Amino acid sequence: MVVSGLIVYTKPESLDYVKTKLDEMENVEVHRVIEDHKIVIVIEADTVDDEVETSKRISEIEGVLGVNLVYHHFGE
Amino acid sequence: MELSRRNFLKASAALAAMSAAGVSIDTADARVSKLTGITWTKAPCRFCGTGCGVLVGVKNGKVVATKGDPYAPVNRGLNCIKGYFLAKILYGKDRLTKPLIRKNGRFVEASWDEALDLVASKFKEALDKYGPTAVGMFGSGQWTIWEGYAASKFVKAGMRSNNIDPNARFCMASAVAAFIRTFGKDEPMGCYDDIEYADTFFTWGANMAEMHPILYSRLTDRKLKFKHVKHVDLCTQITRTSATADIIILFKPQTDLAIANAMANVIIREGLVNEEFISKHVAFLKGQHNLPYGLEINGKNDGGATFKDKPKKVSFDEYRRFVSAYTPSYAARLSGVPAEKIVEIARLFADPNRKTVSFWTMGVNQHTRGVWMNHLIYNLHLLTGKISEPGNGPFSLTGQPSACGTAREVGTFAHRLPIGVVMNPKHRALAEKIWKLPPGTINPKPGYHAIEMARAFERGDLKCLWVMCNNYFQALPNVQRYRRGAEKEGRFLVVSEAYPTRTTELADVVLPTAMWVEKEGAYGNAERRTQFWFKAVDPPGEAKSDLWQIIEVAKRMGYGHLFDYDLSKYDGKIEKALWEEYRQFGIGRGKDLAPFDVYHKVRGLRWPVVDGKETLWRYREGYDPYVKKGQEIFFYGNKDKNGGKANIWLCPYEPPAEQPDDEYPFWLCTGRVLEHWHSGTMTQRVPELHRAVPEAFVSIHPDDARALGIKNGDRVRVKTRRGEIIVRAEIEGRNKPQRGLVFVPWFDEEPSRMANNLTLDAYDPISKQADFKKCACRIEKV
Repeated sequence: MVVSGLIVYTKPESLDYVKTKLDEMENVEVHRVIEDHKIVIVIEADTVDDEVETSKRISEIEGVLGVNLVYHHFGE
Repeated sequence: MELSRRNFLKASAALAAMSAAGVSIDTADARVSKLTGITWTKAPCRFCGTGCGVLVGVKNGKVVATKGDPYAPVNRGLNCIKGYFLAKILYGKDRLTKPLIRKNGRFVEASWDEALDLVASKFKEALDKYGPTAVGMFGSGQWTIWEGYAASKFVKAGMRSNNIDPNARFCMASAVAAFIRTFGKDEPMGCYDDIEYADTFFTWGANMAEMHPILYSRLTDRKLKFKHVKHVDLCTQITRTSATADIIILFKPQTDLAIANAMANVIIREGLVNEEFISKHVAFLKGQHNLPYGLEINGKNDGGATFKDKPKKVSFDEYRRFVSAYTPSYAARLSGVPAEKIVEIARLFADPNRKTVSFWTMGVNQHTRGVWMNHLIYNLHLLTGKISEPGNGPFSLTGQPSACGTAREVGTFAHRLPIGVVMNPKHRALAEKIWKLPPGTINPKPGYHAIEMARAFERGDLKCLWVMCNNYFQALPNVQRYRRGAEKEGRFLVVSEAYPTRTTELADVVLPTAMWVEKEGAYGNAERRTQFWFKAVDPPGEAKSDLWQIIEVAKRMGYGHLFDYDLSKYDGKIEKALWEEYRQFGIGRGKDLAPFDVYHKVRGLRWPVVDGKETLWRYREGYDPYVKKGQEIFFYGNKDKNGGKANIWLCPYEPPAEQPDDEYPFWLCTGRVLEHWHSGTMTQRVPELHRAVPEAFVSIHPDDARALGIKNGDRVRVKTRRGEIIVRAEIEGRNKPQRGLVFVPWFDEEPSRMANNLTLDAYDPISKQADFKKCACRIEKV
């Protein structure tokens, strides 16, 4: 099991749209919105592969300016 | 248990992210550590030159987790997505774990003794027979500081050769040369703190969003929180960095030279010059123009290899007349950028009520007139006096974790010493004193720089080459030529590496290397911050650090005395002994570094470190201990040359070494993508990352693609006068080139897709840095 905590940076005008898209993603939990352009999320996946794929999909959402990783646990 | 552990991990991930996002919380880390049995240690990131702090989690001798270090001032708890691969790069399936020797055309495992004896005897033999120009080392801005220092000492004090150059020559040599020619000292005067004070950002030939994502997130934060902040992106293709730009200046390759001069013209014409600053702190120089390109014509160098500038002092008036030729409309004709846009950005740059930071990377440095382009950016900052204070400054970003700390500060270049250059007798004498060498030991003649090193190896003038910590035979421009050169009879190539690469496959001896936290290390980032880390895990198999390898070969060649320290004085650590010797070079000379033990306790310090205090802005009173009370500004690197002024240089537009024509109608620009780092040696090892961007591609403008009948995903041949590759077309992808320009990333090591099959081996004659951003190509559907 692989878990990571990330901060997604968005254009302020795209925040709601991005949040909706994140809510729709199966392995993503939206935790909090900060300062009208940051969204704290947790990704949980079976493999790092799936996590990278997920973060890549997030980076391609319209209005996303950056996807920053904070915490990454990939197990033993 | 599993469920609660999982919840703890998720809670910890969320809390860490919230904390990094600025929410004040008491994290559950301590509880999680207890539950998971992970111990944490700090290290700077292994990848780019930003120098983010990472906490590395270790369990049962393996790295099992990483997180952004919340106490690291650079990244404040964030990492970019390359952070996913920090630990995984250590555990690729094909890690090299034993020395290999080529016997009858194939690699055979050997003992360390056998391999090291062979390397030492081959180098010794070449040295005895042909002299010090026949042996050399090609190193790296990824070397730890003491590895680069030991390599430099081994080559310059031991073999008495100057044939040592780093891959940093491909990366930021133009920035170095221009810093030294302008300020008399290398590296930015400011620091990352500038981001939070700036009102206007200029990005020049830099895709920060993908290459320096953490700094870009700081820029994004500043811009989104303060609505008056503006961003101008000067580029030859629209990238992710353009997303935050208020003004995008899409210019034709090479015409940045004309645009920057036209901006200076507008600033002078409109009375936006900071006259007081200019009269007190600036001198004007004109070097030679109509420069060569470092190309070989009928096997003979065009003069670039040995070019030495002869600058003349000129007046402000002469400079004013020089830039007056660069009217906005002239620059517009060359660049394709509307004249009024050039006027607009010049006014924005110079606005006395706004603070301006320029960031740039490879678009400016990998340029046959890269030194000039760096000068032209400094010229704008000097004209307006926007320099050396919070929020105002020119800042060249770096691509490797210790391009600054090792390559530039230690001076692992063919002409450099830890302080100064080999051509200067005083600088040689200082090195000889600190290294305890008899006077006259250090060779005064510079060695081969990166491209000339490959050419000398091809010719056979260079017999033995040791490549360490980089992928030379994928990174060189016009790489197939130099690969063929390396394969000729009578060449002896040693490669120290962690993984098999395009360079190891050409080697006679491959030495397995310890990486990152498998050894104790130190890196220096782009803002002069020196950062240390402890060894956290053992390297796999028999892999050993580059430092150990250098010293073992040195001993076998009879240079053991260079590394013979009484280690009882240094806690038994050779690293500490080398550090304490190395820092003697900088003390009192503007590059003061703190004692070894200090760096293990702090999150890095920005040099000069004087009386235990770091320096955030150099050259300005109140910030820099070298500037005395009442001096205000003092460019002390030029103290002996002009009394401490910075130089504005007269640099014209000159054409590139090759431009599109009927036969090869497109511009080719090469570069990186977020998922892969440089030649992909580390990142392609990670199956996840490999799948995310499995192979090189060619980005094409949709109108160009339509005209050629190319659709997204089609296989396309990209061909230049040097070679060809076949890759898939990417249309409307992340990179959106202008019409007439295509982009190919260079990480892919598959021979049929290597971007450097195509590139031109022309270079800036001042910095000797190659131009990977401009040559002529044609494209066709396969």
